[in-house]
Amino acid sequence: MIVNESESLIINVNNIEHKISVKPNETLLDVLRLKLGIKSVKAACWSGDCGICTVLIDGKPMKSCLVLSHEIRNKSIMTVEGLLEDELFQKLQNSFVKNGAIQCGFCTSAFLLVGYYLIKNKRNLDLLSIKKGINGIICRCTGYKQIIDSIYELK
Amino acid sequence: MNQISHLTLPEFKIVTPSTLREALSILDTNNTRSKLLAGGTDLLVDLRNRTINPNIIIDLKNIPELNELKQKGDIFVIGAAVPIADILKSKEVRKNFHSLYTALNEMCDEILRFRATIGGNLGTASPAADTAGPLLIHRARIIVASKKISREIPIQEFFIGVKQNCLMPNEIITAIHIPISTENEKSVFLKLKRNSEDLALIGVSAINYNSQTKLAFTAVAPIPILVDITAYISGNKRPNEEKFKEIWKLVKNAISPINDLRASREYRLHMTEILTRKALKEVLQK
Repeated sequence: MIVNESESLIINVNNIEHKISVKPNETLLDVLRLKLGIKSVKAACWSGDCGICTVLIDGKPMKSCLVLSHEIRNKSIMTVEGLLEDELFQKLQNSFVKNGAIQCGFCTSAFLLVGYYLIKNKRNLDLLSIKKGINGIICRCTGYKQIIDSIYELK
Repeated sequence: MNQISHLTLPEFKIVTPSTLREALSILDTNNTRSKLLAGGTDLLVDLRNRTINPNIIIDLKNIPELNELKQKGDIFVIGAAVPIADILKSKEVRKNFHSLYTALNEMCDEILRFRATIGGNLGTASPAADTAGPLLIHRARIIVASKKISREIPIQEFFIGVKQNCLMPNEIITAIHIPISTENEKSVFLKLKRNSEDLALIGVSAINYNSQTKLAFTAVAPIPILVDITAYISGNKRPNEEKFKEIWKLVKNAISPINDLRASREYRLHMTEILTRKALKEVLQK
């Protein structure tokens, strides 16, 4: 079926189902920020370079500026708002605070999501694999060491 | 470069076929106005920059044939839409195609690897495509299908110019077939880049198998280049300086690096020579 105009789509964001009308040319980032008002997902480069629009799609980190809204049909999207009650996530937040891993804070949500993914999914998480894991996100305050330390502390 | 000119994407229709047949039929009737979507890591950037303006986007991710990742006899099959992250998980790829594994493991970043695909990397046909060099030396074949026929293209015939490949407008890459060598095969991929996420300034791949030695070069010519240097190597041994100079002469004639914002032609030539020496050292014996 070729989708032409706006289509009603049921998407699961942070374990809540939303029925929204989306056009084929809207990205997941557009939907999250403009349609659902989820502003923890930041927008900057719009080309997959900076990584601060990263969300978890079916548990895997992906850059939402490079995902079309129609691709997320039947998928579950997670942003930091959906993890606030999660024990591991809370520990990671506290670790970020303790280590001073937040400077201006613009990239923090993306790093928290990727850190959470790494701790949950990678066995034998060492400093090098954390460095590689967060490689796709840019912190323009350049506070990488504190971010890496915060994730490493919870491995 | 990455200067984004539009915050919205241009308008298009989208179609998500669940069978190859359906996708090929849609492509056949709309081939001049449609674009294929696999990982989207190039496509969405091109759309945003208005360098392309398709009527229809055909999302290929739900087609089973494009998602295969398995050994079939002495061939390893990588579906065109398999994300790089999944290919890296394959023990067979790691064991049999060392240079390809290295290239995939250094491509873009770990987050993009959940989306980026090998079919997309080849389809875009960038002169700097990281998978092209390893696939050239591993004698890969590109499997493509159209509504009427499917055919196999040896990878050395696939690239025809900067970001141009030999696909017809109604064809889709379905898979990459790589022969699994029973011989003691040694391969390597070396990449020069400015920082961890950057495009290759130079990519050098080398292989030694069954007394044959081949080199492949990316980002130093309009298309990825394969150079067979078997005639210059004896007994799987590293060439002496005199022989290396002959090899380098052959390579230098085959490549044509350019000056651009990433590096000068001279620097690229100089570093290609150094990486070629290093690559041969790794795949050949003392």
